[in-house]
Amino acid sequence: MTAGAIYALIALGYTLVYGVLRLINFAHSEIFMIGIFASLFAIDGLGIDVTDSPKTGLTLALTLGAVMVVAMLTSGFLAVAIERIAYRPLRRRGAPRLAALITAIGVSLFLQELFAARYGREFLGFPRVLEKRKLFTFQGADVRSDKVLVIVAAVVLALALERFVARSRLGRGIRATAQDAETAALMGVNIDRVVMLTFFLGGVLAGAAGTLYGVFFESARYDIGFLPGIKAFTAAVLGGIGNIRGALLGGILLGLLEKWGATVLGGEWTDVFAFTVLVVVLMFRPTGLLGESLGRSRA
Amino acid sequence: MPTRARALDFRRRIAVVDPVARLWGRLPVRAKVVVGAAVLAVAIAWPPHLSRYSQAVLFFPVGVYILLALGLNIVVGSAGLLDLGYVAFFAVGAYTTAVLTTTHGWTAWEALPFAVIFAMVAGVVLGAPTLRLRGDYLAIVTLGFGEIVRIVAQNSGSLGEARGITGIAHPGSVAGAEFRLLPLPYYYLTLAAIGLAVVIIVRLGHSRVGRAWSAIREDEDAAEAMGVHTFTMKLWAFAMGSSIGGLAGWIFASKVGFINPDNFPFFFSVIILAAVVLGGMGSIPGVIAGAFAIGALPEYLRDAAAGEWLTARLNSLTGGEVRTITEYRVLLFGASLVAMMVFRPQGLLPSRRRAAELADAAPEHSLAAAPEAAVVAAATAPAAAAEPVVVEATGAAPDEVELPAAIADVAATAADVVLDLNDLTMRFGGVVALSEVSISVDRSQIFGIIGPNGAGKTTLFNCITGVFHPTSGDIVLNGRSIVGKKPHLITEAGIARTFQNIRLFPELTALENVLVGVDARHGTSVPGAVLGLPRHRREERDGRREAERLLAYVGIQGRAGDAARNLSYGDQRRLEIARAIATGPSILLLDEPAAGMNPTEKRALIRLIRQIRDSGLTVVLIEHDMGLVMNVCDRVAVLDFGQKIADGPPAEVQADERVIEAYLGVADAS
Amino acid sequence: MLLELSDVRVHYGKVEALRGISLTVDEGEIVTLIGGNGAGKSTTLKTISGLRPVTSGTIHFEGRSVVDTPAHKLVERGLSHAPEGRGIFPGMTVVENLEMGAYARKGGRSMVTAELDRVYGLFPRLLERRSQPGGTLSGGEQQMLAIGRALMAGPKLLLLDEPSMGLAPMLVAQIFDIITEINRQGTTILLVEQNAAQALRRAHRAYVLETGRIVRSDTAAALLDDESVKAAYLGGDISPDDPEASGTPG
Repeated sequence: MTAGAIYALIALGYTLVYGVLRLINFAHSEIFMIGIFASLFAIDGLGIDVTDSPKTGLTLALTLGAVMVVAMLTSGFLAVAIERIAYRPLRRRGAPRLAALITAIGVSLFLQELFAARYGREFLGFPRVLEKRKLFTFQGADVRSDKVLVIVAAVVLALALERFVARSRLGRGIRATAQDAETAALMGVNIDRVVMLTFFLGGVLAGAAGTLYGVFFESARYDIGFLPGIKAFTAAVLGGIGNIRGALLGGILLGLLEKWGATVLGGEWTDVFAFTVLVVVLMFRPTGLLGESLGRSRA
Repeated sequence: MPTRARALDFRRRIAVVDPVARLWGRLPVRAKVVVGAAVLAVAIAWPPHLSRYSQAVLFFPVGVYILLALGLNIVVGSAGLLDLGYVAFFAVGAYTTAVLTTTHGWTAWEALPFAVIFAMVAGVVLGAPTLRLRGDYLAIVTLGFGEIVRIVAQNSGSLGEARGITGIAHPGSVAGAEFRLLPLPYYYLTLAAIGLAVVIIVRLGHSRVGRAWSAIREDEDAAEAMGVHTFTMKLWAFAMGSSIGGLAGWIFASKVGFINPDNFPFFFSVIILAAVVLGGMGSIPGVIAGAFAIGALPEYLRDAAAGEWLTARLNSLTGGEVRTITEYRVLLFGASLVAMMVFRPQGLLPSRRRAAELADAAPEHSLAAAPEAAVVAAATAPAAAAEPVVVEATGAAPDEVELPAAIADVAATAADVVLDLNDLTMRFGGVVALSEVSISVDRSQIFGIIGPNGAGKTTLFNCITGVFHPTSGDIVLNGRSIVGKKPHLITEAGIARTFQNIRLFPELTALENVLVGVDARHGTSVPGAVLGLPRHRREERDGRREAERLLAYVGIQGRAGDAARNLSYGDQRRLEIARAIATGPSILLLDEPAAGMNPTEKRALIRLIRQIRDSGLTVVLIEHDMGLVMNVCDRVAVLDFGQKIADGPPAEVQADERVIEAYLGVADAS
Repeated sequence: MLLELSDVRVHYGKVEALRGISLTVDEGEIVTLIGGNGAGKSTTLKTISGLRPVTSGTIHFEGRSVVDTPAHKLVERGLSHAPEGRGIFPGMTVVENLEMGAYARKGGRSMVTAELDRVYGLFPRLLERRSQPGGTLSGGEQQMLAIGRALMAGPKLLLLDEPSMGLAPMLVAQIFDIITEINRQGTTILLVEQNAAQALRRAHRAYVLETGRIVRSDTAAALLDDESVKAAYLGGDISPDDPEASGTPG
């Protein structure tokens, strides 16, 4: 469920970009990875040390808030930069989607290896920020404070995004562009700006996911984004890619399915199980559970 | 657009290799063979004089990369299916070899066929459920499959888990050559495999199978409508690609003697893909060159002073402390993939076709997406349209423009009532597009279907050709119901069509376009083409002759070697008709064939349609142009709001009150 | 002069789609472009509204060059385009679609409400359907929505691409009545039509396009009476007993 909430946040980025550009932003997993690193550095920057005890109350809220903002902005601007450098030239040329996907893979590898070269190929540990306290037991499962926080934060952010897209003027621009970009331009929508905004929003959520992942799993590595990225994409497809609520539903559903799969088959088979779910869903319901379309996801 | 101009400028600056690529493109086939033979001679004669280390590098990564890139090229370059998990097939081949030679004690040679077959089976198992997916979903699913294979290896006791499998047998000696751990024999083994792969790919490329792959890549729906079994053909591409992957896996495993899951990471797939893309998708020399560069460069840079220098530069750039250039390999691949797609998407040595597809495939340029663009093409070649060849052909004596016998025979054996529609109804959600339409078309008739825009004419065609499955009603062709069949089977049953907005395979030549149609009547598949069986050779020979004849039949024999996209609009229409006739139909459906034509072109079209009827074929056409319909048709049906409101000889229909009201009334009301 | 195109050329790849188009639209006029399929009518409109890059030539709107102005800026300047095929956002309701039309305007809620009222006045049907998704409307309703949406931008010049396409004859007349009414209320209109008879009856002036070139231009009334135009665009090109098309080949 915790993993599912994080998948959901990352999935929103895939879904937004796919909804508007019909592009699988393969580099999104690295935007998430860099969100984790940004969180780690922000925690360092706040002078928090491995020897410090976990934060509580207001200190926790402030620390977490500050770290998350740093990560969100870092990832958000990184996503925009990637769009400008790697995708926009192709978009201008009207290049086929295959070309864009290959570019995305290139960006993804480049960023991974950049971080590998700079910060090494070993895991970096996080100081403990979030107390892992048992709150109560629900149907035999421990409900821990950190888990609750991750899930609540993810759901709140996802709902905020949905509200933004459904209600705001720019959100309307995003939906219009997703449904018919050329007509949207005729309505006065600046397509380049909408695309930029879409990448930014996706990046911001991936950054938030990075912070949550960081304080929950407490480690960072150059290739840490790969698996959650693929899983999040699976979640987006599961819920219906391009559909905001679908991403939320897909993420949480995938988290639960994985947990169940791990119990039945054993933990080492979790990933195989997740991929199998993806294949099966695509075979029987290629547009996902809630269907594709950014336009129809109204509040 | 300043940004656009700048991008173009960059591309020009980057294109230092262009002269080479262009020169290669211009070389005649014979010269290419000579160059290929020279490269092969060097590849055979030179390695024994190299150091043991260089020999090892030539085997792995260089040789193995080239072999894998050729295999992946079938999937990505030929059939246009993006596979991000190609390493899985390499792994299956390697693990099959490992298990058979250790646990079961087989020799490496005994394991060879099974390594290839298991990889092929893996390809089919992955492909069968997933090949119906859209392109980018397929990419993700194949990526997932690659990971699944790796994780399974990692977690299965019988596959050695993370430790892997050791003690894999080396191949026994062949003709006195010992294998063991020496790199050179394996290098020659790989070279032989590469040679085999090239022969297979070239043979497939010049066969029905290769044309089907091209057609699928360029326009899958049109391919299906021309009788291409798209699913089977895609599955063949997967099977061929994966078996080459399995072969590479066998060579690799039997050489190193030890494998574990870390040999098969995701980025291995990406490296091979990078080789294919860098070299130029679909072009064999390009792919070989790309794989060679990707395999050899890091190894070369590792020792050379340039490598140290570059590593130091990159370290200062990234703030890293990496010692050898190999650690920057993937980073450089990533960057070059991006640079490649941004500045030179067609690759270093592009294949002619893929170059055009990837470099400027703006939606406006494709035939299917922008009828206007295609339409105005007519304007660009007014001279061509008036070339004596065309005029002469369209007005040529009938005995010179007969249909190929095989096609005329099919037409002649059609039933008296070729096509019979009974109470055909088509609903989309709540909208009734067709309501109980009954039409019966006699042999050798020109049957016109007219009606205002949105009356259901194209829906009717789509129901007949299997694109839509009607909600109720029956469609009978030559006495047999064809309702519910897939488009390619309906084409085989004897219905051929053209499209309202022309859907040729734009990068294939005119002749190849017609050949795709001819192939619908042929049966050669991969084995026949690879082995060059007599049936395949006969089909190719006859097919080519028939295709040439058909081009002459529609009057564009002079354009056989031109890419379809370069034909004028009128010639594209003719080519599309020739392609449809090539499938050997008993009935030909023309969807607004005169759209966008000027009066002169329309007159020529009318003559062509009559000529087709006189050759014994039955023609059904949808048209807007009342005059043309009245002029050419033997019988006319009028649709309005999905209902048939009139049916009869043209003069009778023209006088019908309801028709005047529904259709003619709009233009004539004053 | 509200709009002036001078020797405009446009390419799709290597293909020249517009081969030197020159035309003018004065304030208060209805001007129509007629011509066959693929003559370049839609391309002309798309080029004016900034959707297609110009290879050479100039376009002036209210005296200022707009050749390099992107589409979304042109809307702000008062140029509105109801595209071919209507371009309804299928997942948005009728109101949301209409509000998208006012996307570029700065005038707040009250302005939007006033414009909505005006559009509902012209198309009462849209008021009935206002909370229905655009994708579920009938063809005629979608066309009304497309025109209404274009009006929401408060345009000085309205570009209409094939408003009668796919509509039943009765609806066609209705749509053209409304177009005339919109023009009477003060909006200049550049109309592209396949239905040349109707278009010429409603317009003040007309241009005839053939393969990317303007081959005729005159008052609409004059063209309506012109024999060659009649033959080419008002009744189909080929007469049923065209001598040149008759007879067997050879």
